[in-house]
Parts: sequence; structure tokens; C-alpha cells
Amino acid sequence: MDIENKLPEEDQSEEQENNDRSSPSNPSSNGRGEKKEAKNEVKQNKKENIDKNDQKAKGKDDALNQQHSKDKGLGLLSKKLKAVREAKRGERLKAAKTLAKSAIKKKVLQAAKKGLIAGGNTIAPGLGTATGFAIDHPKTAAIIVVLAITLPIIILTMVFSAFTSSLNTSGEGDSVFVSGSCPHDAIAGGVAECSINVSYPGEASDILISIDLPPGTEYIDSVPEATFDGKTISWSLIGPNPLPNAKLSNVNTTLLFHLRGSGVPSASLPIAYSIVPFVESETPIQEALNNSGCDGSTPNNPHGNFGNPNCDFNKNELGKILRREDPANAYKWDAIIACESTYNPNAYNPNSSSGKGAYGLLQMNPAQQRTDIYRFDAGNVNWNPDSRPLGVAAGAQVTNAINYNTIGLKGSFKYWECRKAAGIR
Amino acid sequence: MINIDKKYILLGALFLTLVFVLVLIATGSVGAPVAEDQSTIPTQSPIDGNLDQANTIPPVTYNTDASKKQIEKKENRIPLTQSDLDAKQEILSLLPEGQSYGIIYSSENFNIEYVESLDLIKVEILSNSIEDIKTEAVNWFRDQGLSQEGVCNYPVDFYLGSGVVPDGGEIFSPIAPGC
Repeated sequence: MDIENKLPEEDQSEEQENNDRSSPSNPSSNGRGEKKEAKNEVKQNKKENIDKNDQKAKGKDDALNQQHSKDKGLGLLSKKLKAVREAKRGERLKAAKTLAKSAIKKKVLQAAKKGLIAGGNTIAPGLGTATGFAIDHPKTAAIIVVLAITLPIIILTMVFSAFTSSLNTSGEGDSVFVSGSCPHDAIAGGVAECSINVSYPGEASDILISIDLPPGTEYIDSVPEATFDGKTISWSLIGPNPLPNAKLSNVNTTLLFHLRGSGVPSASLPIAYSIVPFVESETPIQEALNNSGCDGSTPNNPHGNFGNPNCDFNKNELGKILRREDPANAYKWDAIIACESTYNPNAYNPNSSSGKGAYGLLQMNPAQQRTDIYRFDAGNVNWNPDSRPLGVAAGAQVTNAINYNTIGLKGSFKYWECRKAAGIR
Repeated sequence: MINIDKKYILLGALFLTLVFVLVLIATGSVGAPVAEDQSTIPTQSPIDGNLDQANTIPPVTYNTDASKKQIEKKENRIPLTQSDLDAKQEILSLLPEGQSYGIIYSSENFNIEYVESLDLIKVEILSNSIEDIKTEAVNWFRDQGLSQEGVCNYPVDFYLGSGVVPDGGEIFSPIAPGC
């Protein structure tokens, strides 16, 4: 730019000179015309020189520019080359690292394998070798493992399935599990002890178990005692003569029985069982029978006319029952009843020490669904054991008290503060 | 590849464990049933609470010695004299026709009732003046021809009716006055 626009100082002075000379104030003619031509020529030459110089300068500029761009391109290229070299180097390092890692792992695995083999062989000869084989031949080992798991399960299932059964009862989701075992080999010529395990988490009035005597065997005995009709051995888990309102709950028991035989029974021993569902106690039934008092009024207690639903209470009948059920203590019971309830079978005291209320002739607790001694601690039931509705089995006030005293208190009467009215301290 | 190896090592370990378990089960050293527990029927629920916890406390204090004496008299009867036996028959003739037990006499203060099954004449006291009423009842028996000895030996038995509490908080005795 500077180069293009600036003229040399010398040329500028000459031009100035030419301008001065060509002014109209200078009247020269022919000689002056030649001079003019020469001057023009010089001027022309000068211009040409200037143009040439300009072109030269331009060319220099272009060359410089080209050089500059060349330099730029080279820089990028070298940078690229450098990056490529570094990337290659990184990859090589990575690969080396991976190789090193896998080598370490391989070594570790080999060491582990050696350890397993040695350890296994120490525990049981051949176990370690088997482990080594499993590591070396994983697919074969996998098949062996699957077979080792499956086959024993199948065999065990086949062995026990004939003697084991389970069932889901409807309604509560409780399940009964009955299983048994009988060493068949021992029966041959001798006595074998067989067993049946029964577990049931729910409640039932009874669970009945029976098993057919295997051919070629003879029934000897059982614990608990079973009934045997010559063909079938049967148990009732609640036992003979169950108490009123008795029930089974959370059963987990074993029945043992002994068989004698001359040969090994070929067939398995199928167990049959059934659950007798538990039925609610008589209390609600009694309430439904007569919920009004025998004098027409409504008894003031939560259980209505629980004590005398048939309106058959009188002291004479009570005396008869006392003499029959506990003759040695009949007068004592009579005195205690007079004190506790003044002979009112519907007597009710909400402020009992138990907090549940005291009911009936002997002011006992409301009936509970129990199978232990507390099943007799039930006062909100019929006073009369002889006039209970059929199918109802919650005991009666008098008999509950007698049973509670005899079985639970060993005859001490200590449940009743009114024992003092009978002269008992 | 490395992951697969691990898997197989685990499988190997599992296999070893299974073999051990199966061997132990087969030899019966694990899960062998305890013989004592097998021959029992279900045990009853454990007893909870005090069996002899009194459920009610009577509002009346009873004379234990007198009560004991009365029970002994009931259980071991002293035979009545003939005159007392006759008097007893006279008293029982007051029962409603055709009945061998029940209410013999009723007043504002007491009821007299015969319990055939226990052979007892019982007096139910209906108001709080216990001793006065007892005396009144004994006088009634004497009026029927029963001697004091007969009242004591038979024995005439007293008890408190519903809601009856001695006036002075005295100790109650089922024995007739003068016995």
C-alpha cells in the first residue's frame, strides 16, 4: 500500500517543474515542442518504471503471502502428525496394560484353581480333582452339576412321595402336613418302629389319621394309642372322650407304631387323614335361645340370659347337681354360691379383678377358646349341665367351677374369696 | 472370558456344597429327629396368670370359724329329737301343695326355703339389720315348735340376699343366734 501510492521524491519535483513550465504565462513555440515530446517520453518511461516497480512489489507481496500460507499449512500438518503418533502410543500402552491385567488374572485364577484342587483333595479325596475338572471343562461340569442336583431330588421325591402328602384346607390358608417313615427292611422277620409326623398350624376339633396295615405285617402297638380294626390303624389326635369345647391348635406331633412282619412289604404305606373343623362355643347359641330374663326383664349384662336360658334354675336342682358332681364338697359349693351370687345364675359383676367381668353362680370369667385349664374358667354359660342344648359343649357353670377347682386348684377353692363362707381359709 | 470362568468357579463351589449336604443327609448326621419329642400328643397351652386369682371380692366379711362350724354341722348331722323331727314336718307342711321343696315362708325381712336335695332350711336375709332379722327368724322357728337345739343342730342356715350388707360392717355368720 505504501509502496503503491508513494512516488519517489525526485519524480515529484520534476512533475512540479513540468506543471510550472506548461503554464500559459510561458509563451515559447517550436523548440519548446521538442522539449515537450522529450519530456513526455521521459515521463512515459518514468511511468512505465513506476508500473514495473509496482508490479515487482506486488509480485513480492504475493510471494510473501504464498510463503505465509505455506508456513501455516505445514504447522497444522505437523500438529496432526504429532496427535496421530500420540494416539498410537496410547493404544499401544492400553493394549499392554490389558495384556498385563489378563496375565495377572490368569495367574490368580490358576492359583485359585490350584488351591481349590488341593483343598478339595484334603477334605475328601477326588473332590479337588473334580473341582479342577469343573474349571477346565466348564460345560461338562455344568451338566454334571445339574444332574447332581436334579437326580437326588428326583430320587428322594420318588422315595418319599408315596408316604408323604400335603393339602391346603379351604378358608384359612392353614395347611396340614402329614409324612411318615417306616424302615421296610427292618420289618422282615423283626419289629420295625414306624412314625407319622403331623403338623397343622390352624385350629381343629380333631385331626384323624389312619394307615392300612401293610400286607405281611402285624400291628403290635402305638403311641399315642390307636384303634386297630384288624386292617386299619387309626388315631384321633384330640384323644378319647374329649372335654367340652376342646380343640387342637398348632399341632406338631409324631405318632409311633410298631409292626412285625415276615417279609418286606412291597407297597408303600399311604396315610389317610382328615381335619374336623372347630366349631364355635355354645355361648352365642345360648344367647340366641333366650336373651330375656326368666321374670320377663332383660338381664343387665353383655351376654343376656346366659345363665338360665331354660328358666329351670332352683336351689333344689342345684343341690342335686352338687351332690352328684362333687358330693364331698356339695355344702361348701352351696355356701360359696350363696355368697358369690345369692343363687343368681345370671349374676354379673363388671368390676371383676380380671377386668373381663364375673359371671354366673360362681362369678367366673367369660368363656375362652382354650384347651388348657382355663377352658373351665367360664361363667357366662348355662348353670345346668343337664339342660344344655344338643351339640353345645362349653360346659356349665357348676361343672366348670368343680373342674377348675379339682383339676386346676387341687381342691383349694382359692379362686373364690367366698370360700370363707364355707369355712375355708 | 474372565466372567465365564468366575461363573464356573462358583458352579464348582456350589457342586461341592451340594455333595457335602447330600452326604450329610444320607449319613443321617443332620436333621436326625429327636426321639423324645416324637411320641407326644400336642401339649396344652402354657398356664398364664394365677389360677387362684379371686375374680370378685364380696362386700361382706364372713366369719370363717363360724362358717366352718356350720359346714361341719351340715356334713355331719346330729340327729334331731323326735319333737324337733315333728316340728320339722310341721314346717315342711307349709310348702305349696305337691311340692317337696321351695319357699315355706316369706316376710319383708326374710324368706325361708327348703332345699330337699341338701336337706337344708335356708333363711335369706333381705335387709341390713342382720342380727335383728336373724333373731326374728329364729323366733319364727321356735313358734313352729322347733327347739333352740333343733335350730342349731339341724341346722337352720342363714345367708344374705342380693345387695344386703351388715349395718355396722360387722362380720357375718351363717349360724343362728344362740348357737
